[in-house]
Amino acid sequence: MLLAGVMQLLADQAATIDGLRCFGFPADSVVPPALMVGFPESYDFDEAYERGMDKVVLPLWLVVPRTVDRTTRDLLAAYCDGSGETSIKAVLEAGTYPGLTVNVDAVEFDFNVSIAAIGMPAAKFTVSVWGEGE
Amino acid sequence: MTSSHGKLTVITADSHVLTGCNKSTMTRARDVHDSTAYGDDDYGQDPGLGKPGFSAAGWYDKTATTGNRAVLQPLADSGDKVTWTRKPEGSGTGKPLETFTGFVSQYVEDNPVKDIVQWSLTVTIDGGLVTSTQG
Repeated sequence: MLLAGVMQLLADQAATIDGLRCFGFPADSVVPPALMVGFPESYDFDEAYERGMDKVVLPLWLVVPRTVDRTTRDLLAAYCDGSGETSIKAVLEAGTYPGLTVNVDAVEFDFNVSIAAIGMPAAKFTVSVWGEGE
Repeated sequence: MTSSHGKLTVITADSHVLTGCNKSTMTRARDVHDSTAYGDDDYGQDPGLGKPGFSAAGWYDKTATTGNRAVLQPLADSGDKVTWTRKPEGSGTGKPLETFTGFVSQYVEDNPVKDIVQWSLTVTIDGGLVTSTQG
């Protein structure tokens, strides 16, 4: 697997969620709701003989508009649910990724992530991807 | 000292490369015969027959026809003796090659909830190892 391709694949699959703007890289500025694929938290080579497998763990940042009320909660929660049309986990794991295995491992929350000096409620998804080394 | 990295290792079973393999162990063992006699102050021990053993493990590969489930499960189910090869320093002219005949005496698939599926196997070797170099 090639890193840029993996990051873009995840963004493209997330973009099948209606109304979610997705970027396969850490964007300088976004209009929420938006999802950005960050650079890997870890990238392990040689998980198997002869470059047979690498593993990369990626953070996916999802931000929603700051409106401190029930709307923000409901919007963010729907992206973080384990199932449903806007579930990041369900949508990413339903994707087709030739030669790759994708799992959404966990989600954490930060109520004030700053992007272009604008604070936004955010969820950080941790996604593990396994694939043949290239 | 010139070491060799384990990642270069190549294992084949019945001409199929074991994809996803990430651990393997070749053991060269030999029976020991007790030759202690009256009057000896220490045990006497003599070498007996050789009894090599082999085991391997790795990540599950679901590729339909060439994945390790497609290759290894039939071998485990049939008990067929097939040819195995081991290239402990990887592929390359002049590098060591070990060949042996054996059957899968244990094949395990492990499904941890927080990780991808893994397999492991034990091969019982019929006869000895043939050690040579790759052409």
